[in-house]
Amino acid sequence: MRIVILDDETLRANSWKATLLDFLDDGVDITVFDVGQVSQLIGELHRARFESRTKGYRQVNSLDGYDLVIIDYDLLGLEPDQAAAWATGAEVAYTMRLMCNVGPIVVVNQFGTNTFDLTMRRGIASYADTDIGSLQVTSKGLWSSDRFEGFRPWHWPDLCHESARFKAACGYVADNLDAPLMASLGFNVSDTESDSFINYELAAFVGAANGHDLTFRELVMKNAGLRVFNILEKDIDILTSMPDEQVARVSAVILMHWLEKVVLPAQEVIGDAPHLATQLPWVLNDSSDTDEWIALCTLTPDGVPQELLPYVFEPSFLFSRPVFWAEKARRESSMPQEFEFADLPLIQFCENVSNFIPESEATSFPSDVIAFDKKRWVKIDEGRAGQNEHYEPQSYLLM
Amino acid sequence: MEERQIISLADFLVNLHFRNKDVIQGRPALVKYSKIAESPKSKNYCDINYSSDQKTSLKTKLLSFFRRPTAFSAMLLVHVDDRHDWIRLVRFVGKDDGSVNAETIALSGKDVEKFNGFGYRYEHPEDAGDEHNFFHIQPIVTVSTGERIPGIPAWCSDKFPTFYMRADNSYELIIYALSSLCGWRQLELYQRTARDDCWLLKHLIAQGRAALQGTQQNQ
Repeated sequence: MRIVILDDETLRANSWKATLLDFLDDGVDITVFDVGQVSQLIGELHRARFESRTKGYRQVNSLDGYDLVIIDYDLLGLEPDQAAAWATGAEVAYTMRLMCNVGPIVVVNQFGTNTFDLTMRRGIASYADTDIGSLQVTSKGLWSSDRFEGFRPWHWPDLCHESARFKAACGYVADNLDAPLMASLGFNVSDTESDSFINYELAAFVGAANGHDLTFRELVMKNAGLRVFNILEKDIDILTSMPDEQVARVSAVILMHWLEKVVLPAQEVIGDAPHLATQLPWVLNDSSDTDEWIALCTLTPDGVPQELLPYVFEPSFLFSRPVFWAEKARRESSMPQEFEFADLPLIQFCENVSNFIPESEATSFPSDVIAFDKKRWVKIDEGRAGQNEHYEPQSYLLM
Repeated sequence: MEERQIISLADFLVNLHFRNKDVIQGRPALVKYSKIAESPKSKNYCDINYSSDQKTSLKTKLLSFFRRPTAFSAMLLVHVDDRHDWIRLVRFVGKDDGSVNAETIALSGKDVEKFNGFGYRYEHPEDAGDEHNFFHIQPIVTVSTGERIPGIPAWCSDKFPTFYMRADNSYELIIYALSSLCGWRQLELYQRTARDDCWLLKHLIAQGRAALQGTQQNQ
């Protein structure tokens, strides 16, 4: 895997590189662009985007071959006499997405250096595929799929696997570019009684409200996903000459942002293993065993209970973790007669540590996810030495 | 009620209320029902109004009511049936002994300028010697605060019929009321979030599931 880091603080970028190489596989190669290279790249991206508005689409190939891009949000340290210094990492991510054949883009510090977003909605409109803080980028939990320790938000993907997942998703969308999006994925947008019905508020994020379904191509060409990836009005002209494979890449990104940042956090029509098993505890072999619960806290399919296998969402590469048709599972899986909730360990799944924790050590908060039940849990160690994660907004911890 | 039951019920009822308010706000065909959310003008439109409190405030009030039931709770919007044009409401009424009754009201705006409706009260046993000295349900024509249910015929009785309820306490009484208004699927949703082993929840959900299986087998 080839990673490129784009930052105006080369020293810091090199320290990230050194730390990452300490624990990542030998096959990982990390390139740090120096300030001049970053400026040059941003200039090239801006020019290509600007010219493509009137002269036909011109792809930028300078990032070809990189599987993952990490870019700092604040680029003011670039040479101030060059226009690049006035761009943010998010704007550059947007331009890269339109103009390059590049894999997942990680933006650093758009939302603080080490925060946990208690609204669970703040990154929805971000152009980044993953938003992360500078104190989090070298966290082992961001580069692994299980055995999480300490602070490790559940929505983080395993960045080691994101590139392969991204390619698979782009291929899938390219093969189905003119197919209806909701129907292809299996969501029902009109029958409110259906177990695959996706509520209007979620569907509206990709322009599919009121029973209307768009194709993957229209998702881009009509800027229907503007609440998750807004293609600026002046750039709409670029789309008319954009090659199909690039349209597919942009469409795949909008789709994955919508699925992972909007639909999955609701844990309603679809859900992941820890949240779904909490509602259907009898799917575990021994639900009184805390270790079985902890085994669910993985991004790999290894921890999936046998009983949930018929409900696995396909194509699975559209998510960074195993995901299930949750409403269907809830309707079809009835509680065994002898089951007693009182036999369950008193634990809660905590979003900030990706693990089940005794309820007495957890704090609930009213997230802003678009769901009937917005209540989620975090584990906050007030007295832990060195703890410097910020929970925002703080008031959510008091509600 | 036990504290864990109070917290689970308050959470669930508030979620239900706000989800149904969202349903009404999201569908132009249901705009009529948005006019009876409590406001300075809502009483001019309909005597029965559901709560327009903010979420945190409503939950705080419900928790407080269940912990020390006095007077009555906010009126909650627990079901919207947009296919058949009905909404269903519940309000809890505190008794002197600290127990809770429930009054339920269904309103329809279909084919009338304002609303037609009917209601039932879910009650603890009356005093010893009274013919209703058991947990029971009976129709109402006015709510506990004196307002008449809109559109209810003058000849309707609030004395009969009386239905027996196999309940032992306020919590079970409330489960019956919610079952009648929202159906067993909502009880199942409640059971999962509350992690409650209450026999009545299990029984009503099992009946619902069994009925569904019967339907599927017949198809």
